[in-house]
Amino acid sequence: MSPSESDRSPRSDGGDITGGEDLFTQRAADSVEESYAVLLRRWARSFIYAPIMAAWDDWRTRVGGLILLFYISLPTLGVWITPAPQPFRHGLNMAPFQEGWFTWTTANVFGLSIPWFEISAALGSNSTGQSMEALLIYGSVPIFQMIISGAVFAAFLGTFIGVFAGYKGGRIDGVLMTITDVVLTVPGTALIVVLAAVWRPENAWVVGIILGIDNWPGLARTVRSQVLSFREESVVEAHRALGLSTRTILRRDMISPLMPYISINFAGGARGIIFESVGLYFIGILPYTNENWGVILNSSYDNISVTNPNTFYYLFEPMLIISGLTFGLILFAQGLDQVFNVRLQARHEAQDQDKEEGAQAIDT
Amino acid sequence: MVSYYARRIGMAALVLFISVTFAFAVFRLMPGSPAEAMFQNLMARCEQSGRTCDADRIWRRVQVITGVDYDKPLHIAYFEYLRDIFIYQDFGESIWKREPVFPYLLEKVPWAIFLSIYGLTVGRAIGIILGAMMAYKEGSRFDSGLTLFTILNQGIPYFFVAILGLVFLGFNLGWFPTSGRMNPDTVAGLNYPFIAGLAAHAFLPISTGIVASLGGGLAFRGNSVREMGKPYIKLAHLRGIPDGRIALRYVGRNAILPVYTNIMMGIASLFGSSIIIEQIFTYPAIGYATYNALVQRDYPLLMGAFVFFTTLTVLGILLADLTYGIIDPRVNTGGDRESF
Repeated sequence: MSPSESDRSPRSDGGDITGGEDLFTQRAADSVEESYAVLLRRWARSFIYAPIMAAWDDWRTRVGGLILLFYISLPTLGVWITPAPQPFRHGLNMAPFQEGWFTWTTANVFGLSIPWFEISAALGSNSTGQSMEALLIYGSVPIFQMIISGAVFAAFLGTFIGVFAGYKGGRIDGVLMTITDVVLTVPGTALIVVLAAVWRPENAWVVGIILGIDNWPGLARTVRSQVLSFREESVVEAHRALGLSTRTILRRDMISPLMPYISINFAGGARGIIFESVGLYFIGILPYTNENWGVILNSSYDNISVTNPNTFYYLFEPMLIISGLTFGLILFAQGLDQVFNVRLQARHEAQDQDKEEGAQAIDT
Repeated sequence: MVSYYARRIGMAALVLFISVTFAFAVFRLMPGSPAEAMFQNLMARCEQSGRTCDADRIWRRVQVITGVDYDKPLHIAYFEYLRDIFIYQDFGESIWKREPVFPYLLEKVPWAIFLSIYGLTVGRAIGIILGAMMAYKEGSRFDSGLTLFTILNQGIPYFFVAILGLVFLGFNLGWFPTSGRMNPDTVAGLNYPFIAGLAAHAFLPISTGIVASLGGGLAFRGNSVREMGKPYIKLAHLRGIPDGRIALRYVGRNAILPVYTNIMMGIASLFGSSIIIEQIFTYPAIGYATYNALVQRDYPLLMGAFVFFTTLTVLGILLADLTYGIIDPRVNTGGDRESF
């Protein structure tokens, strides 16, 4: 670690570290030239391998993670291998899994022909002859755009306001927390409806940000209360005494230990955004500019014949797809909570101990 | 140190004030403002009717409808808007219904509360009872089964329950009416046919609300498990206090505090979800009025509904805040509560 600009200035205690600073600040690692490969491997171990292994231990993160992986493949891989939904490509109102929905073919990859398969309206087709699976796969793209923009927006704003208010304290804290409480109190969906009416947002990214507006205050509150306890820790005191900048302290000592909270909130926020976007698109409050799951659900609802339960698959398919994603998100978030929540783990251990000690006392 | 209650009431007043200011800002400051759109709308309607249309007169009509004076300077128009709303309850005039917004929405307030309050109270109560049962049987198959059920319940959007209920029980089987809020053939009052019609119309929307509010169970389970491991509970057992009393007065009362604050936050999303539920069931309360206001581009009604929703939410949260002292007496003595 080399001294920064502010470290070189004379200190209030009379010390001056401009001369001979290397003697005390140089560490072994500084003098060793490390290849990028080693650095990359170390980075991968601590930021990719370790969290994945920790997450794999809990069945909820495992199942939730696999579900999420499947859903992430829809707007990326799925769109690539499935042709876009076109009217009258298939017969009208076909039931799912009709004769010929699955056929073996061959595909040409770099001159090699490999066995491949073709799926044709496996999930049925709607009244204009579009296959349901193509509609659902292409409908996931705007949903993911909304989730990403909205949840990232909420996570950034919530973390920033929570950390800043908790660390600074005093009047800034008071003002920021009042703003947070006001947003927390204003009914979010009603606010979104008003904003949607005035702005008529057409871009899925913009809709996501509008939906994220009522998602950040909860995170800001959680983050603040955590920061309030972190800032009293001696390591923060030491870093402040060393003269590290506020930004560095916030990033190193506050935000990294908060990452689990932030990612859990990210999953919760994504759930909220899916609920609200699908709900508002379904009842027709947001303008139909793309074929997302809410719009598909709406047209399915208009399409079914209420006296004929055989047509209800129109309704079940989008519902299953939407619920599956939110279910995966919730499982993943709860598993993360279990994996990362040191307090909860410590409490569990302590409690088991208590149980053994106190078993006889209670068992009367 | 200002007292807890004074701070809560101040907060409620602040939120109300901000929401009204927001409504004014939408009318007056937004680029491509709603007033402009309303002017075009009225102009088109006027031309359709074939009368001679005077732009000045229509512009004046827009100002009467919104209650916002566009010719006066900003601060005076703002002051007059606040005065109209807070003193004269004048929210402007609905374009779509051609009547003042305030009485139109006020008539719908009891219906909105009727629809939401059961979902909130019954749903939360069931959630807490399930949570207590899970905590009592911690680690058993009953516990893991109910936990899975709770997660599933959180994963499925509440309005799916509404849609499926409407399609199956309403349209397909015909057990419940599919729209409206009362039987039109009955006379309002304390008579059986009217109340039966009321219950039949409200059954599906309220069931949806209950399903939407079940979520608090898992949190209560976690709190109870934590509380049950504490030494004072052990001591209570040693003192020979009956199990039922320990469960209710010792564990339950302490475990419910975080859940109670959670309920307060639930109130904010409660009336929002009613927009979706009321639209699905065509149940004419405030949420349905909001939906129609948006579809009809009726901005005075839309902003009025927004202010109404905020008022109801603020009052609900204030009520929860003021009763919080009953279950947690520390708020009066111990200064401020750390988290919301």
